[in-house]
Amino acid sequence: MPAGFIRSVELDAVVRALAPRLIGYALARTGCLGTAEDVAQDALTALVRRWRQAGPPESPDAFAFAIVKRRAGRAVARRALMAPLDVIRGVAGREPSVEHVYEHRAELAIVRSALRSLSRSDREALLLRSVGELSFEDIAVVVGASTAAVKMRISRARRRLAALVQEHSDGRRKQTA
Amino acid sequence: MDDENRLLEVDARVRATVNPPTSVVDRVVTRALTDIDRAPQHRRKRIVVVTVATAVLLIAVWRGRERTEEHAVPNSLAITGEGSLLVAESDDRRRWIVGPVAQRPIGASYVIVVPQ
Repeated sequence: MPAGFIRSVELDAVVRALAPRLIGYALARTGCLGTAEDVAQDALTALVRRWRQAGPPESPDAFAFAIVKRRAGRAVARRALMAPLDVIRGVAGREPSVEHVYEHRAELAIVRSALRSLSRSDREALLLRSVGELSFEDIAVVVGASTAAVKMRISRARRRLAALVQEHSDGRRKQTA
Repeated sequence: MDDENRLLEVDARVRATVNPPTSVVDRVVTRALTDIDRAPQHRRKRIVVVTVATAVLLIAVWRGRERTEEHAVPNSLAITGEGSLLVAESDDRRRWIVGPVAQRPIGASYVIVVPQ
């Protein structure tokens, strides 16, 4: 079997495995599925281009997640700036109705709200681990910290998130009651 | 052990919340593997927009400055002298008269009116 074909099959498998994790991570960061799709799309396109032009990067996961992390940050900042204009242009109204996806949105809101209460570095490490399913070594590359520091951040973030999610869920239940 | 399970449960809950629909995943994968030139096209379009906007801005600034200079300095002046006065007249009929400072009259500057 030619090496080019094997490489292409391998690339296909890597892209398929990465896509849901990248979208999930971007969704957790931005809270908007459309933006998450765009951000993940850019990262995967960059990965495919790099793979075809210069061969696979040392860690495709770290390569793609580094791009998504950067783009998601920019998208959040851009959306914060453009939000008033989007309302005027009616772009915000194009998303599916809240009733339709209420349960999912409510859960997403609880989790995102709890995530926002974490420090930025802890949240980043936790999302890359639990949603991105990256290895500790890859996370260390993406966030620019040592592996030990990453492990500590994730452990701390998990404990705090567990308590926060519980708190937020209880709070919501009280509000609904 | 319970604590460990609770932590893993939170992980699973976060993952389940942000689990994207299959249709979205398929679309992203297909585009990534086929539509390679999408990103450069976007970037190219952005570069063109920024370049055009910069050019328009530069031209506007240049024209604005030119207009200001036109108003500030007339193209030519016709200067004539009449006695101790100097009269400068521009193309647009504006005139400037330059002469010595007028001397104040010496003495009282009032008039006594006597009824006849």
